[in-house]
Order: sequence, then structure tokens, then C-alpha cells
Amino acid sequence: MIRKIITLLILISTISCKKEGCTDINALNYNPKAEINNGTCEYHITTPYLIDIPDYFPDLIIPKDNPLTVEGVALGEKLFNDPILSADNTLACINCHQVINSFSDSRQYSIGIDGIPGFRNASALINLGWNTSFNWDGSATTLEDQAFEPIRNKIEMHNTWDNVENTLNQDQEYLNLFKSAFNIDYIDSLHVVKAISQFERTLISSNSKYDKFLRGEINLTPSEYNGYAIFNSEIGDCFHCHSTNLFTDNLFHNNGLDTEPFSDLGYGLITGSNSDLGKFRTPTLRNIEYTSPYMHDGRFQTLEEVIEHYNTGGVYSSTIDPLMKKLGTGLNLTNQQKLDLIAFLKTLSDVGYIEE
Amino acid sequence: MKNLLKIFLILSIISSIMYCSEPEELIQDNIQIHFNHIANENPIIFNSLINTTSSGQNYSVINLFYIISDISLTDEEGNVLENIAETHFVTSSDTNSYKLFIPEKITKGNYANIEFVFGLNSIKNISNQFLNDNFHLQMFWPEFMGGGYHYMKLEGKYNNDSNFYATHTGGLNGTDYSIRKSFPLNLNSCENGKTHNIQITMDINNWYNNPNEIIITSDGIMNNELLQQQLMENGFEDVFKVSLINVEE
Repeated sequence: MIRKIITLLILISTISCKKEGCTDINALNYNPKAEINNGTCEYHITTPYLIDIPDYFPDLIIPKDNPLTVEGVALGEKLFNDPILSADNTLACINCHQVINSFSDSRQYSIGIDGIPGFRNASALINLGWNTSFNWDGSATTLEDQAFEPIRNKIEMHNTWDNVENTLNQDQEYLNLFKSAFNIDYIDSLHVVKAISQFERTLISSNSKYDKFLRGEINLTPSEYNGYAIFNSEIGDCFHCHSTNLFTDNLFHNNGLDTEPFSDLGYGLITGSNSDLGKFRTPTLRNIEYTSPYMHDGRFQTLEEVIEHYNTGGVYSSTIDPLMKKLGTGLNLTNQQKLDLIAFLKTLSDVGYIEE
Repeated sequence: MKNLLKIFLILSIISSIMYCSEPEELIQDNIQIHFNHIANENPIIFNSLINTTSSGQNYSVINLFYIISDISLTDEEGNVLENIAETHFVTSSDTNSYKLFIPEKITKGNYANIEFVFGLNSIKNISNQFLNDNFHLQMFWPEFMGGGYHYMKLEGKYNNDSNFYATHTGGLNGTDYSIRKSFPLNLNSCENGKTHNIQITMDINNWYNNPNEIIITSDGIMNNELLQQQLMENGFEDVFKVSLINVEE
């Protein structure tokens, strides 16, 4: 009888009380059945990657499942610079996103491994950790998603992810690095893009002359300051799209480059909405001095050409942004105002960024 | 011995039940605010030159962005009883922003009025004050014009397809043009998990009509003190309406 009662008691306590164990999904010994964390979690140890972000920037957007680590960032940088990701081992990310061009391409269109040019200018990689969409047409909503594409794109690296995984898993150095960064024994595509994304999130430009001006360390010249005022008033009306200290609104606009029908449908091809045809993502203007040529198709070689486009007002199409409200007449800036505007834009150049 | 074991058994069962069950609680009521947009009493049809101001100008709406702040429920004397939301960003590019759901916010009682501020008052309207809010990038208002954020961006075409306007309002050079509005609501909360659906309606047309007749042009108005003042007056007059739609179980 006593044995029965004890058995019954054990049974009741087992049923009625919550199971203890490690409840942290990131732990090595995570127990999905456990409801109470009993402090037994064991972890793969990595070193947090610390970033110094200006107080006039928003918080960096970092996915919970891909925190920045020293190991992950270093691995991402190695992958970014390694042609091993391309089908014939000749083309790395860095070849089309060159440091001296603020991680963009001075060519209008980048050339893939088969000698085929793309059809848009390679975007500059700056402050990507604050973007909410990627590529000129917004075809990716996370950096991780974006990193999947160039490797399998037939006019870029023309590889397959199966092939990339096979190649990397035969490389003992990469096996060690992925083990160290992510505690995995088999390298898969997901962790490749995670590593690259970690590295890209560390590409932060915040030490330009403009930043030093914001911090009160230096003054702008009269011409630069005049340009700053033109930029931030409805005289130049640059600030509506190139807003805040990130110099982008993270939105898509048709800035009056082309008449219809559009040769490049842009954002409209992604959303399927006619009202988005001919729209492209607002790029940051940080390091604009280094990222020529300009616009999604690299049609303008100089900042003077860009300003002249806005100064003449652009051309009409049904989806042109209402902010192009001087259509037909243009901004009518004087030559001095144009020079001042360019002087200000060049204060956004971060020399250290292209030398690192 | 047997009795002792029985008592022990009963106590164990009771204690295990007490340990594992949650005490019953009253569930506070929810509020859902619906942001509705009309032009001259008709629902807005975006991208269509069908709206007409009192001065006879036709215009369309392409984009509508605005900030509502300090939404609160008050008693008859205007004393704040519940703060509903500090800020809410309404953007026509995301219709999800047309609804603001506030879970389990209000306790049992009667609420006479709802109050809100169109835009941001001068205490809040400071550059980078809302660095991590979803309107920070889109509603930025440069330091050269006083800093802070746009209250509203209303953009579209007027007269014909190739004329564009941008009715952008905000605090200008230290002057606060935000609009505090209060509307009778008579909301009775029972504290049993019901959802009270409230509708805030903005009549776009009335920005241009009353008491100031405003002519739409392609000129920028952000730095125009007179127009900012007139738009504030029009906004205060009859741009907004509030109604309690229903109460959902």
C-alpha cells in the first residue's frame, strides 16, 4: 500500500509540475520540452563584436539569429574577399564592391565571370545595417537574403549553392573557421550568408568631415555650409529622400529619369504594382564622392551631371514622385549654388572608410 | 499510519494544484483606433484627380503620412485617465498603419473624451528624439527649419497630371503648429476583455477650405509661416472627427 501511494505521489508531481532543463534555444543543450530554466545551459563561446555607433544614428538592425561576433565578422570578410564563391574561382564580392569606391564599382555595369555585364550599377556598401531593403529594386529585405543572390546569379558569380557548399566543406581552414564562428561541422549556405552579412554590417561610415562638424570638432567652409543649407531646404529639396544623418529614407522613388515605357521596371517588378514602376531605392549619399557613376544604371559620371538632372526638373512619367514638384521648370539653382551643393556633398566623404 | 499517509496524499495533491494553476484575473478592455481618410465626405481614392477644394482646384492624393501623438482618454474635466499611445505613424504606403491596437489598456470606468495631438508638441518635436521610431527617416524635418519631424506629408497632383504639390506641415523655427484635439467619446469599459473600436477620421479636403481658403501650388511651404499657421487653423477647425464604432466581445 505504501509503495502504491509513493508511486502515485511521484506520478502526480511528475504530471503537475513543469519540467526543468535548459530553455535557451541558443544553448548547445537546449531542451524543447523544458519549461523552467534550471541554469544548466551550455554555450558555444564566441566573442561579441563591439561597434561604436554615433548617438545620432538609430540602433543597428541585427537579427536575433545572427549576432555580430569577432569570429563571424572575420569569416565574413574572408568570404567577401575570396573568389572561391564563384563558379570558376575568379570573382569575389570585393571585385565589384571595391574598397576605394566605397565598396561600389567605378564601372557602369559590373562584369560577371562569363564576361557578361549586369544591367545596374553595383550599389555602394555603406551603413547597410540600417537598411530595411536591399538592391536597387528592393528584391531582398534582409542582408542575409541579399547575400544569397550574387553567388547563384548567372551574370554574376554563376555558381550554385550546392557547389559552394561542396567546395567549402573540402577546405579544412573554412571548416575550422565555421566551427569557430557558428559551431557547425557542415558548412551550409545559410551560415555562409550569415557570415558575409555580419561583415557587411560592420561597414559603417561615420567619420566624415560632416560627422566631425556634427560633433563640433570642426567648422564647414562658407561654401560647404551654404550647400548644407540648400540641401536641407526646399531650395535644393534633397533632404526629403536623402534624409537624416543616414542620408536615405529607405524608400523607393521615381526621380524623373525616364519616360514610359520604362526599360527597367525597378521596384514595380518586385511588388507587381503599376504604381511602383520605375521606382528605385534611395541610396545613401555618404561617400558619394567615391561612388561614381550615379543612379541605378550608372548613367551619370559626375556629381555635376546629377545636380543638373534635378536642376532641370526631370521628365514626366505616371509614377514620378510628387517631390519632383519642379518638373518642367527645375530647381533653377545658380552656378554658385550648384558648386556649394557639391562642396557640401563632398563633406560626406569618409577617407578612413576607403583606406581601411 | 494509513491516516497519516492519506493526509499527506491529499496535501500533496492540493499543493501541486495550487502551484501549477494560475489565479483568475479580470482582463482589461482593449482599444483599437481606426484611422480613416475622406475628401469632402467621400472615401479617398488615391492617385485620382477627383477631389475639389472650395476654391475649385482639383487635386489627387498620392502619399499621405502623418504623426498622431499623446492619444489619451480623459474624464469630463479633461483629466487624463489613460495614456493610450505616445506616438503613432500613419502612412499610406502601409495600410496596416491605419489601425492601432492597444491590448488590455483600459481599466473599468467611464471615459468622457479622447484627446490627441496632430503632429508633435514642441516638447517632443526635437531632432533625433525618435531615432528608433518607424517615422524617423520619413518624417525628418531639417535643423535649418527648426528641426524635429514633419507632422504631415500630404502629396499629390493638382489641376492636371504634371503639377505636383507637397503640403508638408511641422513646427517651424521654434513655433509649435501641432494641433491638440479633444472629442466626446462616452466610452464605458467593463474590464472583461472587450475591444472598443474608435475611428479618427481626417477629411483631407478641409485642410484647404475653412476658415482659410488655401490655394494649392508647387511651391514648397515648409518655410512658410503664414501657410503653416493657416493649415494649423484649418486642422483645428474641422479636419478631424471621432466616433465610437462598436464594441467587440
